[in-house]
Amino acid sequence: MSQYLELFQSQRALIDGNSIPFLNQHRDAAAQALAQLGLPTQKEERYRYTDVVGAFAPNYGLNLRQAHTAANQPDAAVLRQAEALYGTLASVQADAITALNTMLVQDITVLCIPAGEQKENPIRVSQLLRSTAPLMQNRRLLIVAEPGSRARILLNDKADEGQDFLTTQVTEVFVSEGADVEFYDIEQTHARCHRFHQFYADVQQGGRLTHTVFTLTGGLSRNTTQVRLSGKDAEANLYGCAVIDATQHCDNNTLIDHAVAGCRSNELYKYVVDQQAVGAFAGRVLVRPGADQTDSRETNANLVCTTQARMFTQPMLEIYADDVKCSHGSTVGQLNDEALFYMRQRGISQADARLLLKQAFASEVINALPFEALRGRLQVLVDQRFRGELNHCRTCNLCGTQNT
Amino acid sequence: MNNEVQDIIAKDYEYGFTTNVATEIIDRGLTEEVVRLISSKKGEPDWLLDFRLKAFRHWRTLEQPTWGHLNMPDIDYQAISYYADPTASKKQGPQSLDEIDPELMRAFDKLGIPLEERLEKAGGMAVDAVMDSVSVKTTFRKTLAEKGIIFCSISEAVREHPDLVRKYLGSVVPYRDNFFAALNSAVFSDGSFVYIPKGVRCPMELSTYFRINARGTGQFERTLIVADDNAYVSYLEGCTAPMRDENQLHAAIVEIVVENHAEVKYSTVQNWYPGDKEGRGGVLNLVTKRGLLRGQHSKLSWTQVETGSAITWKYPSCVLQGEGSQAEFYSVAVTNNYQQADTGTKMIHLAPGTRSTIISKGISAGRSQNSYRGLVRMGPKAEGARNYSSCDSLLLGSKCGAHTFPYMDVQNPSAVVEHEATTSKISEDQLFYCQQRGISPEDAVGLIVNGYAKDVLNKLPFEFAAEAQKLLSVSLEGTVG
Repeated sequence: MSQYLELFQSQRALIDGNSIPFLNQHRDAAAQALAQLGLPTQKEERYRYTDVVGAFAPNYGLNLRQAHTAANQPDAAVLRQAEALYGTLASVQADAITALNTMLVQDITVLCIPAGEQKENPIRVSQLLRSTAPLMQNRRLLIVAEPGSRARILLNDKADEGQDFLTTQVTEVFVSEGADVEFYDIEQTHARCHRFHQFYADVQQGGRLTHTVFTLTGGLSRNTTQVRLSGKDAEANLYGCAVIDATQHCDNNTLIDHAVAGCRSNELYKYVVDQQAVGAFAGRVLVRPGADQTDSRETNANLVCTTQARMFTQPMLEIYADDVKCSHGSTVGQLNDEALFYMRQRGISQADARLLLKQAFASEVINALPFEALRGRLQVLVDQRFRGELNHCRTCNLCGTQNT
Repeated sequence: MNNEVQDIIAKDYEYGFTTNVATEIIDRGLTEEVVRLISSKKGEPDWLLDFRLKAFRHWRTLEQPTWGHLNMPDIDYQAISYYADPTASKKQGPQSLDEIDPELMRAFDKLGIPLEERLEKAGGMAVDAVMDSVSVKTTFRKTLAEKGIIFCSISEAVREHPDLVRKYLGSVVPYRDNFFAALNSAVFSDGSFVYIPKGVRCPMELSTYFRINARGTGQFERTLIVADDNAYVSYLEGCTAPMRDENQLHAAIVEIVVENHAEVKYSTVQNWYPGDKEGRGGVLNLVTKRGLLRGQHSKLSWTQVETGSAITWKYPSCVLQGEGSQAEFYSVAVTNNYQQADTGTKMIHLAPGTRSTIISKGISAGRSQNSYRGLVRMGPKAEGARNYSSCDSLLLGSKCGAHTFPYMDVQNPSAVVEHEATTSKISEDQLFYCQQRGISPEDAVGLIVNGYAKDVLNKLPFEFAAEAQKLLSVSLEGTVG
């Protein structure tokens, strides 16, 4: 960790000079918090399944000079809004990775959906990693959905083969009264990528947030998702699907904070863990004193396919109000023998039968998504993933050179 | 919730009396000398002193863990006396009933624990009564000895069956296991030792009754139960303490070894003093309980009804090492006023075909915090292993908390783990329905709570079931609302 603090101290001028100005105001507090917290070890409950210290230990290069490339000059009003909201959800005191990101980040993507605007077409944020040396990248996304607006955001992470990458991403989402935000996060990187995504959202009265994370290919993926329901009748839906094999590691850590009465939350996470992969899910639902009439459901189902694969699951309820309806369920198991037998009887090969059942298992998450056009696309991606045919270059036209 | 329910007046802790017997208490504080003193008072062999010293030296290197969902008062380990002997006036420990101080006899009578061997009173139950650090009396020894069953205090077992004790002591919970296990291993006083030989079915329930009496002391008992091949035993544990405004420490270890095809049932009705309505005083119940299912097709079942203690922090666990072994955990934990509980179990499946069931019912009232925390681990060799866990929480009142922290760790593709949890409150509809039919609000709540806990209460041996049911309603009286 010390190398990051040293880099920050020694290159401060360079970092500040190539950044969006308001990001610079938060760096000192972040550095101080990081020095105090240190990177989380596996003794810390929230990070017990992921070796953060190990992931941040190697020396990665950072491109401090060209980090900020202002493609389009933002509107002054939007900038003011972003400046006021930046860092209000992603507290540097509460999380060391968020602190590290805040200390070093130089660029930010801001999406502002004006009041009442209904965006049917998704806003696509594609992130591609290319480098000739091991690279660390710190990313920041800020989304403001003004009252009554509606938006779909599609975040797609990809990386060029052959290099080690470490990314930290901090996303802050502000869902105002009656706004509806759907956020889809699809990871298709490779085995040498380490990705930490800290996602923070606040949902106001009558607002709704749908957060979806698909981990298809990658190395180490750690997604922290924290949603605060702070207005009556707010709703949060969290969906996740991880299809992991080889030495992949996928850790989803969620917190849904029912801060006021009358809110709903729903969580569904499914994992298929094959070969030597490790999956982890920890979902915490917090119902604060007075948050009566809370309705919360949490489901986590997992398939463990080999004796080398490992699945940790930890659905947690922390309840301080009595008039609530909360439940969670979690299962770890294997493919249904009877279903396999049924298909074998009908001449379907063992391999195909297993594939069909895995697809059916994952499709429960896909079918739950409100974005119909995306469902078919995701189904194809997941099917390709199960067949081992998923090559992100085939579906990507970002760099233009490797598209075969 | 219903105002009438709220108005019901609380019933006080029934077992809060103190007994005035001449008790020999050693000076407060914990040093190597104290450990040596305890050992010499008990006339222990060198190997046991050695075990204690190793544990003590290890304990000094540890720090008290803080990960529980508990607001724990600071414990000054030097302010506790680690040995209190109420039988000290009789030099060699009581040989017959006549030698027991009548005050002590009366104390246990008051608790409903008969020390006389009268079947009709005891209901065919053999009792080992432990006050503070010393076992006062074990009943029915002769009847059991005829079958080859050993049931005595652990100090006696050290003297009379040293080989057995040496073989099994620390084999399930080593002194390095955790902070409180190390502490207990260094200073443990009395507790029960049970050995059921091969092929023997214990003809009666064995029971130990623990009581903390003296002020400024802690209780550090140690229980060791061994069921050899094809043996069966049902064991009950009960506990109470006087009302005091200080926190008293109870850090026990229970070790159970179950060999091939043997079965052990362990039931606890824990009713240590829970502290007063403002949360002053009460017992800190920090216990390590673990069973090793060593044999094939062995079976162990933990049943616990937890109503007492200011703080309960324990996880009666099972290590399923024998092929086809089976473990069960049934728990009802009730917290009221300022009580806190962080309890549950660990099921560690290491062998093929192992099965475990967890049924946990938490009830929180007043300003209490009640957490279930449990681990289910399926090791790589646990082919076809199966676990089912269900934990429900019932909230009575809006100032209490109910929490669930289950951990699952699966490394085998053929193992199946299922967990479900729900949290709810007593519905107005149910209350209304009962009251419409002339059932008073107090009885209605009792009825609903007992119905909710029935899955667990049904698992208790008959002698305990009625007591537990009564205890459950007493613990909740005046707090429902």
